[in-house]
Amino acid sequence: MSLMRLWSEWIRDPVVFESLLFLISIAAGILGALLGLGGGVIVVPALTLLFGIDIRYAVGASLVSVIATSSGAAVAYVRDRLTNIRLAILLEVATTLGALSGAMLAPYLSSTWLYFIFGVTLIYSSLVMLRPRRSETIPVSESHPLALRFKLNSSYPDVVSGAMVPYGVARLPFGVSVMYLAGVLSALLGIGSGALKVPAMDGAMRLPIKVSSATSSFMIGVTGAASAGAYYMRGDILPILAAPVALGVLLGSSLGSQVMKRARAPTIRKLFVVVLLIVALQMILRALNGGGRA
Amino acid sequence: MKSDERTPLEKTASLPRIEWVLAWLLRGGVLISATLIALGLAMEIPGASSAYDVSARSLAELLQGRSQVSLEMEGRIPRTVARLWAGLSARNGDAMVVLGLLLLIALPIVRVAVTLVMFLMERDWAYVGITLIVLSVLFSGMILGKVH
Repeated sequence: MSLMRLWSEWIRDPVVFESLLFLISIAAGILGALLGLGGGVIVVPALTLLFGIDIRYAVGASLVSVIATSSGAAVAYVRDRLTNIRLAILLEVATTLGALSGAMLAPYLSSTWLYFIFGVTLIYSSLVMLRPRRSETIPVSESHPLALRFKLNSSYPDVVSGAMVPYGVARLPFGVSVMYLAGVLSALLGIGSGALKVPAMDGAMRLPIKVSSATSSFMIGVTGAASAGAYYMRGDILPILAAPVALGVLLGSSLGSQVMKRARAPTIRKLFVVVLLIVALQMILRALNGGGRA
Repeated sequence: MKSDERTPLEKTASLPRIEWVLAWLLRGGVLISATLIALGLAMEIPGASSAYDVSARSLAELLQGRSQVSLEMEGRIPRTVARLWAGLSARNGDAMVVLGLLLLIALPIVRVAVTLVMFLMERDWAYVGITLIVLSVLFSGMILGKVH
């Protein structure tokens, strides 16, 4: 009991609080880079469960970090010429509209709902992590007719041969719908929704894995910006939260991507799935408790 | 829709320069924002200004799980350019942090704008239109938020 008191007393000090947030965000950034899951799924639960901060402010702070990571990662993907810009922009229409809807909807949803949706999304995201990354790409000729109309088929540089390998795009309408949902969730929960975007792209739409990762990364930042604008104007982005989180996640993700070049860690992945499920449970418990402290 | 007769290889080869510029612009932007934020935070270290006491009070509210933090905190989120400028002129660390945060939020919008230029250069009018739609959604987010 006195440990809790000690904790509460210490975190009241702004310097301690900011430093702690910063450190936690670095961890979030590293894990995010290593596991391909955004920092948002760590940041929001940390702020709400550990510090008892209202979920709306947690979401606002997390959104900024999501945007930051996406912009920071841009260079690598452009260099590798993996991002399918046309596809990204086309799908962005759906995600940004979704993000806008979500941002408008958010004030009308009670904390209870937000916690619950967060928990469910977290469960889904952790299951996605267990999914083997393998894409059965299709030739251009098998693309969805709309995809051809919009010139979405493209090619990417194959690492081994160095040649540009063409690929087609399937199931465009389905992909668009998923992107809308991804946008809504991104705005409500302060996450990047990569867990929705990536499987939609390399699973349903049959994009090559690397292309789907790169394109998703591009999109995540834009989606984030769509809702962040609204959140900021509403005053839901507090500098005292957003600043250390943004800095920490940025630092963490650049550190993490350095490490990633050397380590390949399936065991960390599985461990993380367990952690995520526990966190998801905590979030849902909090929802069942009416959004107050569990 | 006009069919593009160039091979995929030629298409991607024509993109590089502007995409490179964009990517480095983003990276630079991220660095600048991070620096602004870090500097702004440093300026608010205890003793440097009364901002620290305001932080402590607002923090207490936040930790209680308040969903509407007091006007004291609200006042430090400049929502107009004038207010932001005033804060910066007063060497307010918080204003610098906000500037950094706003820059971070703006970067993806810049990215989309550059993509628009790219499509204009390629005379791909369909995609110019689509990109404009995305841009308008991005901007309406900010406007609608203000109206709220």
